[in-house]
Amino acid sequence: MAKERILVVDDEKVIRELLKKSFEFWGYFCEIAQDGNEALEKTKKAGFYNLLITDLKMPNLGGIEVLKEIKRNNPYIEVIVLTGYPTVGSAVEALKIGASDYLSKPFDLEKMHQTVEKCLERQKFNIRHIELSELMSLFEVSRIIAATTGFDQLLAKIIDSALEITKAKNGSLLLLDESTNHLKIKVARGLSEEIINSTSILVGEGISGTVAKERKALTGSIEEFAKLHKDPSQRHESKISSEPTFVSIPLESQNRILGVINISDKLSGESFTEREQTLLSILAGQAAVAIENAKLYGELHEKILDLKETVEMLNQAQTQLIQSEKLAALGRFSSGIAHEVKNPLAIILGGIEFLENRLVNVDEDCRTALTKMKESTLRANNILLNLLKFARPSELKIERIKPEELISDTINLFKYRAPVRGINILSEFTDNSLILEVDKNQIQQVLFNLFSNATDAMPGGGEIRIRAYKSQKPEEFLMGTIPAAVLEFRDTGEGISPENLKRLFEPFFTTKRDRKGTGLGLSMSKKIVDNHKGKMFIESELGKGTTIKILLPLAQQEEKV
Amino acid sequence: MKKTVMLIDDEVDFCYFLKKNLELTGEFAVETSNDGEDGIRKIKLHHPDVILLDIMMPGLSGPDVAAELKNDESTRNIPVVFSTAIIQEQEINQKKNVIGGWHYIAKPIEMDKLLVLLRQLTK
Repeated sequence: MAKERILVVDDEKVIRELLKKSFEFWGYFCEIAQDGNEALEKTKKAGFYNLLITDLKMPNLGGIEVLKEIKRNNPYIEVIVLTGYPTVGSAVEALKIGASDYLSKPFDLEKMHQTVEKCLERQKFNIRHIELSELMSLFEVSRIIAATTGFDQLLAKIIDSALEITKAKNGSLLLLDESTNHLKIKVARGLSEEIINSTSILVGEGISGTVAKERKALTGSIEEFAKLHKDPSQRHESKISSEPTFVSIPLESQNRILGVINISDKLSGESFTEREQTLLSILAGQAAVAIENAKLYGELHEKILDLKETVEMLNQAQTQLIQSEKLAALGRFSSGIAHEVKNPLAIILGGIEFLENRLVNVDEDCRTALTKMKESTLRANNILLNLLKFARPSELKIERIKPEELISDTINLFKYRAPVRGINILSEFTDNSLILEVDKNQIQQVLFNLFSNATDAMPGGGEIRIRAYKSQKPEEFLMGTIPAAVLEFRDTGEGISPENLKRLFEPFFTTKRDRKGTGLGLSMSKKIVDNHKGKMFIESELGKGTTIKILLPLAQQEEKV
Repeated sequence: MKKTVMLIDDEVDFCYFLKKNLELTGEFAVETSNDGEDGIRKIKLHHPDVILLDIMMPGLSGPDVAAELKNDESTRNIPVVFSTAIIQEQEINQKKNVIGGWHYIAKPIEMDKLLVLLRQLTK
């Protein structure tokens, strides 16, 4: 075990030499200083002393000042104050600023020995206590690190803990990018943003690179390292200075190097102690495990997100399957039922027409009744016709047509009705080169449905805007990359609630049951657009209106007339 | 001179009203039958000017009846109008060529449309 180190400061040569001889005789290591300045000089050079014995009254720097100064850098030092002219005031002050004991001159050497032993005993106890609390804080830090899962937060926590344990100002944590074999700063304290972003160190180069390569901690002064670094023969020395101002420690987990922690510049300006380096190594071990775990956690998290996406896609596929299953069932059902229902309808219609012909001279009321019956019969028939369209989608009669042409017929049909309802129809066809390849009749049926829905959504009047243009946004391309013609249909109606929006294309879903809605218009429109290998989507906001976009295939370029 | 229409449909009441309505115009005399076999027999008996033939019937279907008529020299040239409760008019027009030039009309039949067709075929 190393000898305990004692520094004696006394302006009386006889006393300090007597004490030095006595202490060395008792087995201590002792140095002497003749005044305060020399004492401070000595502590700066030699570093740690266990015990300071100082005269209170000295020229230049008095004992109290010396004590204050030394305590600032070494809070664990024990101090015994000596004085030939004791006053209660100075004694109290010395004890106040941390002197452990007080001896007046002339002193009994035996008493001195006892006092010194008592002080050193107490120091041992204190240091053990301090070590314990350091371990406790390390334990606490480990616990916090283990509980931190956010990767960036974890790295920040590690570097802050490292600085706390070592009471240092500056620090950085570098992680190894295995693909490039370079270390990059992930988090730092006391470094400029520019350095953080620009630093990239090849493994084997510089302090951090050497630590990562050798997987051994490196301590020393940066200047010294720089000097040694030029001489490769000395590069493998892990210790390059007895007064380390930086510590660089590898982060290793399961024999794999993850990165490096660098710590420098103690707050006190002192060098790093062995103890601090040990604590830092322990921390680095914990940190490496935590980093590895966080990485795994991140990967797991990504996998979970992937999985969620897959589940989401499956759900969507399932919904679509149910939807098309529904349509198929509806198809089978409707062709079966159509025959059964249409025959009675034919009989009813025949009967009504018979009565119309026979009752030539009946009054207006009877005639109105017959007309209404006939209209209703034909409407029932129309519903059946719509159902049958699901059952057997008719073949597409594809032709090349400009969107303007396609839409104008439908617009004309509505133009007569629109102004009455206070509805303004605006159309915009700027791109003259757009030519579609579609079944005109079927797409016009879709447009007719959209116009009907829009006018129904604007009982108090409003505006319908129709635009046709070539795909611009990513979602406006077919199969992700194929440019399409976009027919955009925008109304200023009452909008659609999010719940209803989800069910919009469901057959028989209608919000207009009271207004003779069949719930087939949009589902059929969607089916027609799907048959064209197009796409149809709806955005809506309650109270603001609805925008429907229909993506339809463009005519092939070379066939353009 | 009234034209004779042969009406073959398994729906008795449908035949009843259609017969009445056609006869009300004063232009047509109507014979009815409620199944295919009986229909063929009556056609050979009455030699109608035009036949209105339901497609879906128990026993001999409309197309069966039409095929039978094609085989017989005496009935081969009588125009046939198929009536059906399933096919839509739009589709009928598209399929005209496929089904060999015969005529189709969808149920429920609107008299105005039927009359146009019958007058044209019996000219």
